[in-house]
Amino acid sequence: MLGQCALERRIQVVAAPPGGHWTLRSGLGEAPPAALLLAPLVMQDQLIGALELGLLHLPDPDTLPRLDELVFILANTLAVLRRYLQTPAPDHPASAEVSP
Amino acid sequence: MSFFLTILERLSLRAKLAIGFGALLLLTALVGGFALDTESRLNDHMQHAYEVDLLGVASAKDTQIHHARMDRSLHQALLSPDDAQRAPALRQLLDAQLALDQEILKLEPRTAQTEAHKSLERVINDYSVYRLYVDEAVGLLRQNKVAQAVALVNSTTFLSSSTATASSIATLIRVKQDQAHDTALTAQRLATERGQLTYGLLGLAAGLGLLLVWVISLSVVQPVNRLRLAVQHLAKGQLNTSIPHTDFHNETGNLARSIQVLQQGALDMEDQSWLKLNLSQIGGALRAVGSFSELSQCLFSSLAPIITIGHGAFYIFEEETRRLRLLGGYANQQRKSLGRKCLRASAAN
Repeated sequence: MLGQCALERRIQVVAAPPGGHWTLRSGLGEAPPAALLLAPLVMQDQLIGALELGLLHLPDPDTLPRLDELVFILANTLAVLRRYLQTPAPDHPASAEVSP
Repeated sequence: MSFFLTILERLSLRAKLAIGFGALLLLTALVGGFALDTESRLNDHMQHAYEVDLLGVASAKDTQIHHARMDRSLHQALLSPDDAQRAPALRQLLDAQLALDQEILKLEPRTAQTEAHKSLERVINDYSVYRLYVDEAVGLLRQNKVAQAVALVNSTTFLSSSTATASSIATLIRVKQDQAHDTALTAQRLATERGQLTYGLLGLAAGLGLLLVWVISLSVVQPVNRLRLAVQHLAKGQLNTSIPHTDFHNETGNLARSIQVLQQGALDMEDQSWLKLNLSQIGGALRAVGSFSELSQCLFSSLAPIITIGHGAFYIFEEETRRLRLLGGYANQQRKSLGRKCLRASAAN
């Protein structure tokens, strides 16, 4: 899904189905998220990364443009940082494949 | 009172003014109507006093005069030496007699009251006896029986009938005078009572009018004051102040609803400016980091308080491998299994 979203290059908000597979866990227990937000980070029409958020509440229509803005800032920062670092630091080797 | 005020506050300004002026007009009409009624009653009394009492007393006094004239003319006729001198005296006697008859006729409708009516009846009885003696004396005189006529007029019966008539007329005059006095007193009492009542009514109307004006002005001023306080709170930045009277269907309600729109606008603006500030702060924080892991950590720690994130994952796209590599996460120890489930669901679709 994230890969699909990355290909389409636009933010997607998926309302979680009731009794779905996704759960949010903490030391006190777990709860299903209200929505899943999938955002590709695009710089000059090039995919440079992706952000995936499990939200406790469905975002209201006013919040989405702000998230867009945030994603833009994030993409900018990531692009600058990547150029600055040249080689990415292998902190977390876990990865998700881009679905064809 | 407060219930009445609550209802009044919900009315439109036009309705409030209509109620106020209508009530004042009604009170004025009430006082005016009462004064008119008093005037009409007093007028009736005056009419009665003039028609029945004043003219009644005048007629009774005229009766007395005509009776005296009859007596005097008769004596003059008796004393006249011959027919030539007697004739004018007898004519005067007849005149006085006719005038007295007319006065008695005039008196009849003016003696409706029992006492006066009885007095008049006694006058009529005494006078008819007296008339009989006078007619008899005049008859004797016309037959030139002067000596017999003088004897009749000087007789005790004639004298007593004349005295009785005079005294009954005097009684009638007194009764009529008493009645006139009573009527005047009644009219005076009525005027005094009605005057006091009118003053009382005027005072009451003025009091009610002032009360009404006070209540209506309160019903206009109070809601506006509450709105003013709410606007003052808004101006101080307390944007969550509840705006009163937005449910009123009048001018105050319209104003309150407009203020509510203003409040919503201010809230939206504040919300936006707050978020913009946060975004710029996040942007600033992100630009200060030196590695991807720091970037990820900084992103989630600054994002979490703004939108309620349950968990999050941040990937970078690697051109060489064409894969998304996980840079960092937020509360995502279960990330792998979730990712797998997600991908499995995606593949199933």
